[in-house]
Amino acid sequence: MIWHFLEVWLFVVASFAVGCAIGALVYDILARTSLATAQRAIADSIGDVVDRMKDRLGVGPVWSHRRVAASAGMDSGHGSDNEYASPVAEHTGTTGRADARAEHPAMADRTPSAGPVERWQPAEDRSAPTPVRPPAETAPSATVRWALPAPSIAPAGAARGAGAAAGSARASREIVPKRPATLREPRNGVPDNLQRIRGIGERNEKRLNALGIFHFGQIAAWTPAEMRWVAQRLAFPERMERDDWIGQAMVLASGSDTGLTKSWERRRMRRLQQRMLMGQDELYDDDDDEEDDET
Amino acid sequence: MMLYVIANYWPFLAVALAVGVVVGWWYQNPRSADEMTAWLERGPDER
Repeated sequence: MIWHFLEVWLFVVASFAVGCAIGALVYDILARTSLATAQRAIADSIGDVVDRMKDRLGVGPVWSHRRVAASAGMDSGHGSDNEYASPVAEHTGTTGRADARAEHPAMADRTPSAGPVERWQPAEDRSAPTPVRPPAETAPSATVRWALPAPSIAPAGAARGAGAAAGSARASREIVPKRPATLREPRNGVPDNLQRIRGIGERNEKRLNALGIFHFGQIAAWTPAEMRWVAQRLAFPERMERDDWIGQAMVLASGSDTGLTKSWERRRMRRLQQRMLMGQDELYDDDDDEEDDET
Repeated sequence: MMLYVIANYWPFLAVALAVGVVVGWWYQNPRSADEMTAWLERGPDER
């Protein structure tokens, strides 16, 4: 009897594995036909649906999970804040660099307890315990909420030591969407592949290009107000914060790789190795096609 | 025995095969693959 059940389960698992192989083959075959664009759009749409479900269920984003878990249980090594902090926050706020924070005045003085919960804040962040610290301690390492705020956000008015007056003055200002610096056409006629940023698909890339944004450096230079302006014009504005576009753009603009591009490169190298093992001579001829498929 | 299992449990096997096809197809999308393995990577905010 037990053997019978084992055998049935074995068959089910084997069927699933065979199905995976068939599905992967189907994708690869279709990717080489004229249906590639439609197929990628469908796959991206499914990914968007999955992302939304994750948001509803409070499952994503992954990086935020680890940050919250680490800071709740132990020192994460990124300061004492319990919040999801982007590279912008790290570079400007959590390190206590007041001069850098002054460059982004609209981001300053936002704490978890400030006003209503922000609209695009992950569920884990909402449920995360709010650290209670004396004002004297919070002043130098104030958590910077760089997240795009909903229009109804009431900024924090908490006193913050010596900079209380300036802080409350800044806090009393709403983030007003501001058009970022845009270009009529890409520099030297060659735009960056914005789809290298996780969260930017074909649709968002087209919209960004239509807005005059072609390069990673442009995105890396956005202020929160400019981010908000752009977010209002994108298909999936919440992805901007969740996938940390500015942080990714900073990395890509400096010529480094993000996790996404590393993943692409690994897949690409794996395929090249497979082809080399198969002894195909058109290795370099297909190189460009491969890149097109991956992007 | 194999035929017996297939003949009696083919709906389950068909469902498993269909789910596998969908998963395999979707996983081939570079973005999907990255999302599935993103937890292995150090994100740009953790450098």
